[in-house]
Amino acid sequence: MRLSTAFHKLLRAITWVPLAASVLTAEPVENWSKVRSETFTQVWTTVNESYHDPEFGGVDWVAIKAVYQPRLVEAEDNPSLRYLLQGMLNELGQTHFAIVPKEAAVFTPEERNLVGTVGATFATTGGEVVVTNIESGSSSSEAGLRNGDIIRRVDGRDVDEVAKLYAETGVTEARKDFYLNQFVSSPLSGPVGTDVEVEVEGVDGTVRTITLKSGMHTGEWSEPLGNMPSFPVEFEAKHDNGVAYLKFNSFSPILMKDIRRFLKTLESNEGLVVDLRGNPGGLILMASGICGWLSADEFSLGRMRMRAGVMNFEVYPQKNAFPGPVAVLIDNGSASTSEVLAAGLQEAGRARVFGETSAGAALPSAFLKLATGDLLQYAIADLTTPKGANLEGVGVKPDEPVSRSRDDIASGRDPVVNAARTWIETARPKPADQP
Amino acid sequence: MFKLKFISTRRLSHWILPAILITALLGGGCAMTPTGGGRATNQARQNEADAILERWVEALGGAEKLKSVKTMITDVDVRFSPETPTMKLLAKETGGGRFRWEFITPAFGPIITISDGKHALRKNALLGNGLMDTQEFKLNARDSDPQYPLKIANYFPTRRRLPDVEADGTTLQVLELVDRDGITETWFMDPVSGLRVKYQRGNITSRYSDFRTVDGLTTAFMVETLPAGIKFTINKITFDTPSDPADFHLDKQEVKTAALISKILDRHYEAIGGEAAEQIKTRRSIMTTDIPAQGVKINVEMIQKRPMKLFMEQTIPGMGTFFQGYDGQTGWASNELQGYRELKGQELAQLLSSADLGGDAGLREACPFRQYVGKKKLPGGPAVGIKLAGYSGPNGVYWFNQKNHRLAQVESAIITGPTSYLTMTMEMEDYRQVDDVWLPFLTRIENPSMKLIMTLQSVENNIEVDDTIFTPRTDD
Repeated sequence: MRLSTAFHKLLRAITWVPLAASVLTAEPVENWSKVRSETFTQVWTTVNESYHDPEFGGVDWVAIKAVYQPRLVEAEDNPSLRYLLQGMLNELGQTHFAIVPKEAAVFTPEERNLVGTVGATFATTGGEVVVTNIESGSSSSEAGLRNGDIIRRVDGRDVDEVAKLYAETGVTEARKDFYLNQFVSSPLSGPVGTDVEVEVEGVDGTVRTITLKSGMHTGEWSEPLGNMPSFPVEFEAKHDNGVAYLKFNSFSPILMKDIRRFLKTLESNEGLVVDLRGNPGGLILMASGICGWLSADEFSLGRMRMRAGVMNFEVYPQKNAFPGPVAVLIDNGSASTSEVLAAGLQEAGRARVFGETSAGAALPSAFLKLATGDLLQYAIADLTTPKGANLEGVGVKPDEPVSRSRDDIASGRDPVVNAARTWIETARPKPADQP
Repeated sequence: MFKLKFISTRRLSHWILPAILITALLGGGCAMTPTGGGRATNQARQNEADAILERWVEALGGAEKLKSVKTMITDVDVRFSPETPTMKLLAKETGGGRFRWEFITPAFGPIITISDGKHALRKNALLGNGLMDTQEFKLNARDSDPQYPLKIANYFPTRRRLPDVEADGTTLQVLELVDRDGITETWFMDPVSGLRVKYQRGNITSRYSDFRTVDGLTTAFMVETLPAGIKFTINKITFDTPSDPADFHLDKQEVKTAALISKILDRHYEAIGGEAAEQIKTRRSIMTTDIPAQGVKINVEMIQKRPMKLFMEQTIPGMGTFFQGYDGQTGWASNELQGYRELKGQELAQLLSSADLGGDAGLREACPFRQYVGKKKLPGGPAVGIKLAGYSGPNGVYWFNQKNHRLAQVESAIITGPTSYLTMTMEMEDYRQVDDVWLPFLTRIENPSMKLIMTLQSVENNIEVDDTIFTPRTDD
């Protein structure tokens, strides 16, 4: 059995994070014993049948069932069942195995109040979770949260303690930073109207406690894709003095039209920055679609190996694909499809990657609706780069490592973008080079 | 996106490889002055056709020369597509329907087809053996006869000249020939050289070029077939080289086993209404594909038209609409996420199998290599399994219900990209008859990573279809 003491402690500390325990109540469920048993079977069997490696990477999945199934009787409500199931999934030691509570899954516009926002974004830098951007008029803005503030505690939970537990489990620095960001962000995206107490340390060293109230997302939402819920999407694109800048918060099909429209506006003497920092991924087909607009040559972004079959993510060059230099920005918040795109372009020699090592959380996954109404996210394949490198647990290494420190964030500097701009200036065709 | 069809490889049966090769060897024409023939009577049109065919014989080298030829040995390069390597084919033919073709494939080694004049058997150590069906055997026996151009009237009781056509700035004479089984061929003759430059039979078209004269006989050294796009290039042809009778010998037990397998396929053809399927010219099918575990429902509309045209629109809520098509020349895919692209290789082969309105009725033709697997019980009853393969590789194991002879299960792979595949088991249920053709209205498709249910909602046959729908959608 691989489950270490550190992992147990960590599990206790973080299980509530995706579950937003503070806002989820244990509603009584009719015929709970049967539902609980059915749910357990669904989770164990789905993984048993679909895990890409029939040897489970050395994990004895049958033995794990023997350990967890007897503990089912202890799960008297859905939150405790989630805890148990998440523990079982964590035994695999892989990302993309998670129980997503039904209360956090939005499928209709009416349900959008289930996932709110405090109007702040975060990044993990130097081992600390730091505020990177604050929306004006939001709860964060009104509560006096500022760029560069460090989040010390969320809803009474100590961020440093969790960081130590992550370190004990042996996960990479990048993935630890990715998890820490989620640890802070998740409870702050609870249902609209939820108050969360946050302890922050300002740039001047003073520590204060504020209360942030979750409000409605005002922007666009993705469309649900089967059991994959809807989530808020963000898109930013601009041309600035020979450098085009593109940033989006997820690989959601609803954004594809905007992305494509923008890529078509690129001039041949421009350079392009694709900012994937903080982008946790999404639909992998979109990565190959985007790359089709950036390359005149066909190439592969990666290879997905399932238990019975393989899928290569091919890039199909589109007419008038952008020929100029491309810089891709990543950090420890860049995961999954973001990593596939960055690694694929990097290995194909089509982009230069700037920033920090990515999260190393890159397994293609699907969502199964469970008897409890929760969702099981489960990886259905492993994924390697075209050259055969694993991204899971490793991440993408930037060609030019550049960090954005807390001071940079507080003072509005972005050395990663600056490094990319500097390179583009040297790489993009000059007017003299133009025919 | 997944295309829910088997890897049907290339439909490389007699229509393509041997027949085309052999007709290529003797491609030619017979001169006469074009008359237009608009008001000609049937007899007059037959006379005109015969005159053209006579000139063809002359263009090939003349009747006396053809009569003297007893055997032919031909060394050919075969290229299935620009992406695939060139393969070698050695053909030995003699009269009496005896022939032997040795085809070397990089993946599966030699494929040898032997005809002893009564049966023809394809043999490959990996893919299996397969008896040529009667029609195919007749055609190949005919085409492998070095003196075939002299026996046209015997092979084609009905012959007539059709109005000339213009092709690439050249006027071609057109002949319609109907064989003893009622199958029509259309020949296109060059009035200048007298040689045959194009040939159509069913949905297969062959084009002949690079005519050269060897030992007084004129032959097309280049043949291209459509829609598969296979190119045959003759390197060398020799006449009247002594051949070993053992080259045309068949093992009786092998023939018997192959005949039993053929019978299973013949029964399947009858059971699903194969003949009726061949009469359908267009079809519009509405389907849904459910991925229950993931809560995804895909709406599919598919339009097929003979010969081999296809349009498919798949709408996935939350992901967009995916289009695929084949206009007779270009296989294509287009969607909002990945843009436009042309399909090639295995992907194109799979698309073509979807385009084929014959569907499962074309299994015999598509899968000339067969191996008996055994029997097993399936939910619909006991089934017998045959491993089927085409020239480009295995198609899968096909399980036929022993009572109703319909296809019950297929263990195969689905091509999901230029270099991607998923191994799948497909179970066909709920067969219903539409215009005398039995179709599975429910297909369960399973892979360890996913389970899909494909439900046919409606089928309309022989509807009006505007060809523009098959045109590649290059606009994003």
